[in-house]
Amino acid sequence: MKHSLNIQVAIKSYLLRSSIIQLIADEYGNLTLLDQFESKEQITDVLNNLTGCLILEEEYLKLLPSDFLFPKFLDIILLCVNKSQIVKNKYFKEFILYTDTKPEILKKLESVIKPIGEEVSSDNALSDREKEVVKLVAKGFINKEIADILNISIHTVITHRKNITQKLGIKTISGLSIYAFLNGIITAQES
Amino acid sequence: MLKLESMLNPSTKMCDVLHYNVHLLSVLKRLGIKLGFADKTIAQVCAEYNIDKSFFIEIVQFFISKEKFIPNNLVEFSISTIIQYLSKTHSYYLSDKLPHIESLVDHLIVVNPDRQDIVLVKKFFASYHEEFYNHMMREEKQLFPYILSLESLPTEEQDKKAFVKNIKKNRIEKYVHDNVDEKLNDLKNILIKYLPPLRNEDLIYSILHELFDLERDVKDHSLIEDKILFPRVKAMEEKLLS
Repeated sequence: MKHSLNIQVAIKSYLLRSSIIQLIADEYGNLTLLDQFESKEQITDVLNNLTGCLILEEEYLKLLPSDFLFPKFLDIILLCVNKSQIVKNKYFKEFILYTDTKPEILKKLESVIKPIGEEVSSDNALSDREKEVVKLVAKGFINKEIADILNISIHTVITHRKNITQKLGIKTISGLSIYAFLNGIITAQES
Repeated sequence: MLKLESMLNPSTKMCDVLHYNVHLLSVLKRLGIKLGFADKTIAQVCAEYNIDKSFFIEIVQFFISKEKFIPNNLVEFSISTIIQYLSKTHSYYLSDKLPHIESLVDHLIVVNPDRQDIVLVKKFFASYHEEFYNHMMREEKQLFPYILSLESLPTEEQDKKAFVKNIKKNRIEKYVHDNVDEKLNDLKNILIKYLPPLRNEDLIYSILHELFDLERDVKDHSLIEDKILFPRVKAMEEKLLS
């Protein structure tokens, strides 16, 4: 499964919706399916509270007021028949056309979803080794045990822990457990 | 705005003090001073509530200058007045502040029933709460009684020996504050950096406001201990041991 992100889908057409859902479920694992919108109020309300990535069908644009401002932290992929009519709208990060092939769609999804994941992994991203240490700390192992398991010296473990705390801004063991859970490093049962 | 630093004295109006710094509101509350004091002066209000006015001015001075605060060791006031204030602060944390934050976190769970991660946040907060409680209790049950004991020198020769022994064992300079702020800082970062967006962002903002406020308050609390209480305790110990 790729980076788990906040992907939301608002598509009216049943055929389009089910195929996009299937595609995303296979590729990315999780998504939120938004309700079918009936009214202007309903759609503006929902959109204003979203963050992450939204795949929006062109059809719904008609429901939106002409001066509607899309939320700043929402990346929108528009599902449309023809890009040329809407292309001047800078709010849309990408366009999926009805005529697109599967690889084309995947490439477009990737271009919007990947960069978000990369932003998170700036200089403060944990290295693989540090992630292993976080995992063991979160599971309740003490430094000496972690050193034995990873076959490194206890000083190296302490250095890792220092760097982890500096990168994450989290120092306590229970804080690291929550971080590990939120980032899929451990499961809820382990935390 | 008045230059309160330069004019602060027993005849300063109580209302001017409050307008100067909002955190002094909680000082008044903790000292049990009720609002509606019209144009009464610090001296008048303190007399009404039986609060040592020198102590009150010292605390106000502290909130004005914070880290730069230099205690005025020339003024005398009873240590039990400070202890009483610090104790009130403890009960404010334990009976008001922390339960309030806890209820906000509970509400977060109610509006996001599908989010397992918030349950973990709640558990984390509970463990912070417990640690905090234990720290407060350590001060209430050990530190404060010891300090208060310094005010009453025993009369019997036998007791005096035990008294001196007790001081030697508990010297204030050996006291170290617990690191209760580590968990608080972690919690702030989890909410700010790592918890994925929730349905009710307003609640998260409220919780963060409360956490920042608590952190500031606890920091002030420790500073008051370090700068006002402990130097006086140290001086008392030295006097008693000499």
